[in-house]
Amino acid sequence: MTGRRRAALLGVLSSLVLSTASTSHAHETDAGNPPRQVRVYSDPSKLRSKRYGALELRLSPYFPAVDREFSNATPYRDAFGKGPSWTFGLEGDWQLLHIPHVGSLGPGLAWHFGWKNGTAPFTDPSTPGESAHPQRMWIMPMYAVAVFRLDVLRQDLRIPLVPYAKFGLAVNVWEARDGHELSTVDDIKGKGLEYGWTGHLGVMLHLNPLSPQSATDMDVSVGVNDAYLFVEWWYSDVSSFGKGMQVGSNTLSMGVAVEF
Amino acid sequence: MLTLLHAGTVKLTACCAPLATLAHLGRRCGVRSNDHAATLPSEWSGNHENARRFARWHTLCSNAHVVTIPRAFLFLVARVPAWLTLGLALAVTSPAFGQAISLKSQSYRVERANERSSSEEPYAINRQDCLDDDPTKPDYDYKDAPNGRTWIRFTIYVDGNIKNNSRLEIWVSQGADCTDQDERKPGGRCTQVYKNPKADTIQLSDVAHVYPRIAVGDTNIEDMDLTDVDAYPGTEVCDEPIDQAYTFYIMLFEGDTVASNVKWTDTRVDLLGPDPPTEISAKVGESSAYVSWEIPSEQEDPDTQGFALYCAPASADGGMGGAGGAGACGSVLVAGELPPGGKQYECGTVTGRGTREGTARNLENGTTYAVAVAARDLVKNSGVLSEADCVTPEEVTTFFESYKQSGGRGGGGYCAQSPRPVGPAGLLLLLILGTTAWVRRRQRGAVAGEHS
Repeated sequence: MTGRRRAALLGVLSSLVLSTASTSHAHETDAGNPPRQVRVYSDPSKLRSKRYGALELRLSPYFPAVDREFSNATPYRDAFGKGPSWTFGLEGDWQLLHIPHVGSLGPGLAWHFGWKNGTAPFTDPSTPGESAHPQRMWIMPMYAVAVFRLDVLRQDLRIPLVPYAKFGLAVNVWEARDGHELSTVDDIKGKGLEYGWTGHLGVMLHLNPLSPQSATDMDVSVGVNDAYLFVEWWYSDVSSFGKGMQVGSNTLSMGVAVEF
Repeated sequence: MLTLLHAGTVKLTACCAPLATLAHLGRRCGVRSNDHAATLPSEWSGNHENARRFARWHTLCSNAHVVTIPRAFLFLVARVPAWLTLGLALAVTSPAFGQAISLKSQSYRVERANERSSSEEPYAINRQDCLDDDPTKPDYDYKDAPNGRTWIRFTIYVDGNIKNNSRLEIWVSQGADCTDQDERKPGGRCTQVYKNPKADTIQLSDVAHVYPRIAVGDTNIEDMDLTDVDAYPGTEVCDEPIDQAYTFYIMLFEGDTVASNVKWTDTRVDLLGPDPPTEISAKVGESSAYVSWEIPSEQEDPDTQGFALYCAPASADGGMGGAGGAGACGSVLVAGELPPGGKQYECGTVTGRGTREGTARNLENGTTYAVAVAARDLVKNSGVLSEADCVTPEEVTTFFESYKQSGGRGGGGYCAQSPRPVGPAGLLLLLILGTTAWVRRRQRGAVAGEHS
């Protein structure tokens, strides 16, 4: 926020508070009551509501690391190619601890969903023509993490960036579809639930300075304190610790977040 | 003034009502004895209420304009309505009242193995119903014959006395009035579809079996030998281009007279399917083919509710456009003709007028098939076949097959990899939550210390 804008905002808020106070004072004086003491905030941030948590809308090119299980086979890439499986998701964080001049810490829960379509190749590579046999794999990555946000840059140094880190447990549900049915091989169903761990490192761009008045209005009207764009590196190892399919990923995630 | 001269005292209870009516008409009236004195019935004397009633009667009836009504007239007035009522009741319930026989009500249901939901017009007769009216099969009974013959059940309730010459018949027409004897004669527009299986036996609650092919055809059942399967209308009657409302007339005859009849008008016979789609393309799958098609906007038929896919093997010497059969790939599927063999070649269905693709299933890998599409209407009639495309399903290797063949450990269901109650992950979660709670508590304690 530029100094000129801050001064303007302060001026508006101060005159608003003062005008209200003076009206009240005059009225009370007329009524014969003693004048009420009016408190004028020099820092408008003190007018903002308290923050309790954050909500993120997430979009990620998800690369299930299925082929990581094998040293000499790439079944996932053969079936679905190199492209990502796009996932979208929601995350809610509870900012349990606000550490002054440091940041916030608390638990978070997230849910994502994404799928990848492909065409199953002919078993006999010499078969002429192209197969149109559809196949699909969908994955539902979920996690419970501890979230640490380093707010000191934004709050104390006026740099509109908030680095953060997340670490915790992941559970991914997946299903492989053959045509329009569940894939089955020797009575083994092509679906599973894998667990593992997940870690995230990212940075959030604070959007409030782009429109401080709107940000203040949002806080007053719906309680949203801050809005961000974020991008993060997301690494997860989700293979039931080697007993199941590796459906973790090593990717980037991006989206928008609000603190409330 | 009307004066009827007659002697005698009349009981008040017999005269008061008609006299009150006369008084209401503006006449002043009364009933007097011969000596012109009002006579109080003896049972009215002796108490205050009766004295009040007498006073009211006296006001009504005692005046100068006296009507003296003969006792016999009053007697008739009092008795005749009762006699009439009794006589009518006796007439209605007596055997002599033979014309009162009537059809009270009837219910209608099509008994078919291929049930249709209420949104699919279950009352309507479609082409499949017609084809399923197979005289070699027993009538469909959901209890023990799931593949039985389709038939129409009329449950008829008869009221009144059934005479020896009563008979029950059902006639059908597409607009003619079958109660008109001329319409039931040869050359008329009505077709007889049911007669009593045994003459002179009508139950008060009767079930009539009516067969779709007889209703669709134009041969009176009277003229048919139902035991002769070869003489029964063939499946060709089901190919008639009929989409018409039919009216069934359930009629009770006494001799040649229609004693009573009821109509059933909610049946539609629809043997026509919608127009077929175009630009059929079938692509190879494993034991399946993935079929797409187009429907030019000017050919969209509002009757279309979905599509049926038909797959027929190419003949041994067929191949692409071979001469083994009349249709594509030498198959039996011929564009512009109805699908042969009912459901024999049906290999997939999709719903929705706007659908443009579907999957043909249960095919054999390595066998060439002709695949054609026909549109379906609300009552599940398939229209004529589209042009066919030829396809040979081949074996494919899906992702999960490839994964398992490579030695993958995943799969088997959502519970296949269930973790131990508290494994490393659980311990990690507990550590995170415990640390967070501990820090939070310390922070609160610090804030409380500042305030104190």
